[in-house]
Amino acid sequence: MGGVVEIVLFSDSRAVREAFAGLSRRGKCGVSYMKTGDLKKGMASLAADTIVYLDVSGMGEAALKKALRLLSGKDGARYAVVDPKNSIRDAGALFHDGACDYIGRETLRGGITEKRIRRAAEFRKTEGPAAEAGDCGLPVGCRPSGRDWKEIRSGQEYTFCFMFIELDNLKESKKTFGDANLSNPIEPFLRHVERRISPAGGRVWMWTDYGAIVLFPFDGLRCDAVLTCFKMMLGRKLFSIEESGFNAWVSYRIVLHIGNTIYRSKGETGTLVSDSLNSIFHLGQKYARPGQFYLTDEVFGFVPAPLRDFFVPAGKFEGRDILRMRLPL
Amino acid sequence: MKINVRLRDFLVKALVESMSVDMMVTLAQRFIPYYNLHERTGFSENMSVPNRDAARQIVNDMRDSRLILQFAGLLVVMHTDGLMGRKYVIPHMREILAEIHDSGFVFNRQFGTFVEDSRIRKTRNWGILLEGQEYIFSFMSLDIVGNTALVREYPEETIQATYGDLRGIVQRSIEQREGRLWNWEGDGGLVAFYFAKKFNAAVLSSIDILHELFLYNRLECRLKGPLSVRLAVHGGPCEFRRNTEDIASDTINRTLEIEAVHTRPNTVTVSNVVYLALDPLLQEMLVPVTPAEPDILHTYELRWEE
Repeated sequence: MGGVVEIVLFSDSRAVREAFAGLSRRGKCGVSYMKTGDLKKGMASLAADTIVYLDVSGMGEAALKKALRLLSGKDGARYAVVDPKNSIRDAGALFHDGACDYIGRETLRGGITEKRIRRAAEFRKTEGPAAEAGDCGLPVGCRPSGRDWKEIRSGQEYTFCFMFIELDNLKESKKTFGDANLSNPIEPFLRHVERRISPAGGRVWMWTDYGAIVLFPFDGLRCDAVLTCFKMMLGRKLFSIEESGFNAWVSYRIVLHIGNTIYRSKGETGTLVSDSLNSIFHLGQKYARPGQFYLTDEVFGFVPAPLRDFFVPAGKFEGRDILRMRLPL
Repeated sequence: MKINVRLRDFLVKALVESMSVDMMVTLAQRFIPYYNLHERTGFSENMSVPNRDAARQIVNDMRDSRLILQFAGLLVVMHTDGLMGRKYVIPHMREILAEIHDSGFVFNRQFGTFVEDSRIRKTRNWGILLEGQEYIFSFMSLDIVGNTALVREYPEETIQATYGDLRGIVQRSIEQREGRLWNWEGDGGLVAFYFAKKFNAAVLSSIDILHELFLYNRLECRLKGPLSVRLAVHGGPCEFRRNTEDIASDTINRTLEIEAVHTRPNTVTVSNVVYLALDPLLQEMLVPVTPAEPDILHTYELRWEE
């Protein structure tokens, strides 16, 4: 995959074209542009290894269906969808029908990178369930749980984004404040966690003594948990002042990881055996330093591009590359 | 706020059934200094005023002075926390709370008074400030850096959408801290905070706005470069007017001056008056603008570990 990747972008939007313009400037991807109305004509004359990016922003439902039928019907064609208005409800279904990439509003705003295009090209080139997952940076055997909790059933195995979060330095705090007084920061902290995770679909799965394991549904395309945790680290001092009621800086550490587990309802997890669950506990309790936010390499692929430079390598743990967020001072 | 008959009757009953006439007068004098019950009721000085007449007169006077919410708030505080070292059991408290709630107000324990239920409505006087009265406020001024250049460089739709996003960030941040936007002129505005921790609330809002704007600039901003703002917080007395754009106040003028003259882009500058009233933890987040003059102005900016 070291050569130039050829792309044809079908779009009538200047903003979308500009988002792709950076690719050809760097010379690693050849981008040509056509009007959306010329899709049928353009498809007929495409070179075999070209990737088609189709901007669907101006299309009605019928036109969209027709265009997707045209794209998925051409043998060997690799195509992707650009959706600047986030109007497609089930982006996952595009992949079932043969798409190799989906670019929503946020991704578009962040700019399209050469790395992404190469991954999209590779994704369709090496089809097959296990290879697909591995090549797109997901764990082998990835079983996306979806964008929300609607389809998730107890007893089934899914891929989730796991979050470990726990208050730090509790031995010290016990000595300083006494066991009874520790409920002061713990209760507001747990409420704070629940309030912050719920907009991204997170649910507390297990409470620990001073924190929680949270599950976020994962659809294989995006991971909103990253932004949730980023915001929690950005606002940690405001939490100490406004909500903790503790009159002292409250420190907590967070770890994110994407992995599989059999899902069981909260409270019925006592006998659950899960490598991913073990990993996130070990990472959180043995590896993570107080006050820090870590994520595994699997998650890093889903960090919005403009925030990637806030994560720095933090070594390896149990064979995984770990990254740490640079903290606000 | 319009006072219905049921609320008035519950307040009267609450007073009659829980305290002496002397105590009722003491409470009234907290809001209306030198309140004279005999003069108000027409009873001569050498006669005692029957407690039901006293209660009814005081409740009516509070209503006429638009102080009924504050008065009812004091009863709630007496009921829950006591007053002057003594516990009181105020009857009909549930009914009083329900009646006031139906009018769109909720009791805020932190502020010790009734405030507008912000889910129902948000007014510039929180539903309780009176025209022409002087109050102590905390003010936050916000200004977009380089507005003129931005307006020249970008199409109107881009500017309107971007500034609209900023206004949304500001409103979300201030309203969760009971702040009110008194003035917004496209490229910035003035926010007022009134309740108990008003200085903390204004500074916390400012910091929160800088954090949210950082994420906005990274993830959503339509401009080629980041949108920058200057924020300043100052506090002091100010006469309230319903038309807040018309308020002339030294405190507001000083806030605007701090923002325009002493504030760098993407920072908050906090006056000494406000700094001294902040929680110690919040003080720790600020540094002197000029290290040689640590008593004048303090500032906050979002900085990152290298």
